[in-house]
Amino acid sequence: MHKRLLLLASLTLASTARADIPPPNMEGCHGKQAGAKCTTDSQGDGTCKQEKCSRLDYSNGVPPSSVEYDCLLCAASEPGAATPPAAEPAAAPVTEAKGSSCTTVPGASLGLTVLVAGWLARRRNRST
Amino acid sequence: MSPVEALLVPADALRARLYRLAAPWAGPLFADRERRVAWLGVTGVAFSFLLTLAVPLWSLALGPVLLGVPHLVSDLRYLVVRPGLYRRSGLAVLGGVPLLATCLGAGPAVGLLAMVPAALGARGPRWRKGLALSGWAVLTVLALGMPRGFQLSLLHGHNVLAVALWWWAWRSRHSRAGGVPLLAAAGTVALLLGVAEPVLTALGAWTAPATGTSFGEFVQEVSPLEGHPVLALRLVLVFAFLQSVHYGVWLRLVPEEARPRLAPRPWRATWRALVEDFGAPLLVGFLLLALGVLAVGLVDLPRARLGYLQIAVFHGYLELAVAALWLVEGRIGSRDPT
Repeated sequence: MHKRLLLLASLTLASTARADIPPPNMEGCHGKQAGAKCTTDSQGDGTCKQEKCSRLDYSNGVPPSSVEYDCLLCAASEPGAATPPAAEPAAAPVTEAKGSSCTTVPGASLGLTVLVAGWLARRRNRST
Repeated sequence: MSPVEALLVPADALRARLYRLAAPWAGPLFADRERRVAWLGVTGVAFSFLLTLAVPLWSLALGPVLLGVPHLVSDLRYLVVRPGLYRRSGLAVLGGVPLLATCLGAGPAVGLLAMVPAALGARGPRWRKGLALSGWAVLTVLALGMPRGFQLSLLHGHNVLAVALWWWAWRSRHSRAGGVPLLAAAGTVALLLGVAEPVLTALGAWTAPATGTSFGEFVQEVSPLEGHPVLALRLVLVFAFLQSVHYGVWLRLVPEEARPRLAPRPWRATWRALVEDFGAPLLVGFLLLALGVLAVGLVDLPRARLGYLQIAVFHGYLELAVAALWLVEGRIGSRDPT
């Protein structure tokens, strides 16, 4: 009984195990260039714009200093505004791969899925 | 004897020799599971704390790369395979589709959909199904309304609860193991009070360029508290500490508790039990996946970590779906492990 309750509770509060969260409105511009169409975090239409983002720098301890860096953010389009033509996607630096799902290792994910599906079928056949 | 078992023969022989050498002072640990679990737990928490003080960025960067896939295997084993959920094809298919969708880019609300067939397909009274569906509805509203907060809450919360709930579930065996959650709580409080910062300064551990990451990035990822940069850092350290502890719970303590045999078993027996649970092809697939993540990590550690996280995103929703199922059925359900 204790074990059941433990597992029930641990399942209820289980992790998504996803810690890769980029700054707001950055994910929509992943792999794109300035001027490309994008989707904002609130699922609205937008355009990628070159902006300055800031990041805390803890390399000298606390309190941290603030460091600016160039970033592409998805700015919401104003209603009725003409949308600029989309730019060709650029090669994404590694650090911008954050937030996409299964794009880095799609083969591994799908391969694992096939293996699990095969295993399920095998186990079910064996048990019937 | 399979080729893998043949490979494990020398490891078992070495292990037996080490056990014989250690027997005069460690003998009770081999024979007494309760004592062994308590020692393993306390040692694991203490080790996790020392890692967090000395090499927190390495712990954050390497933990998922080294232990992530084995942790997923343990997750599947003790939450899906042992309870025999794979035999229920309707659940497996209907629940599997949204789980796979999350791995292909779908958001939290889609992943949570796996809870619906689990709740409706479970065998239990309607009021419990209603309760499970209510839980799904609440989580979905939270996921849609504040997806970032939803993900962060689950991310931090599950580390804490893995310890507390493990201790609570087997507490009848744990006359000695109360020190594990207490030590984890003490470590968390110490980190929140800033104990680590002078140590990090003394050890020069504020940066670890070879990890390809930084505290600034982890603050942004796991504790984006605007206006509270010191507290945000401390939360990152707490996350590093409890993530290590949580891996220890799933990979060491839960298997110790779930195994019917009181004493440790040889590596070959462990392998046979894994084959019985998963089958050799799937185990080989897991092994290749784990080695693949490691291989990528040797070249590009941040990419390996992110790759693992992208593969693992489904498992949180899988766990929530199984939780809904057990909530309705009022039982965990388990076949006898080998």
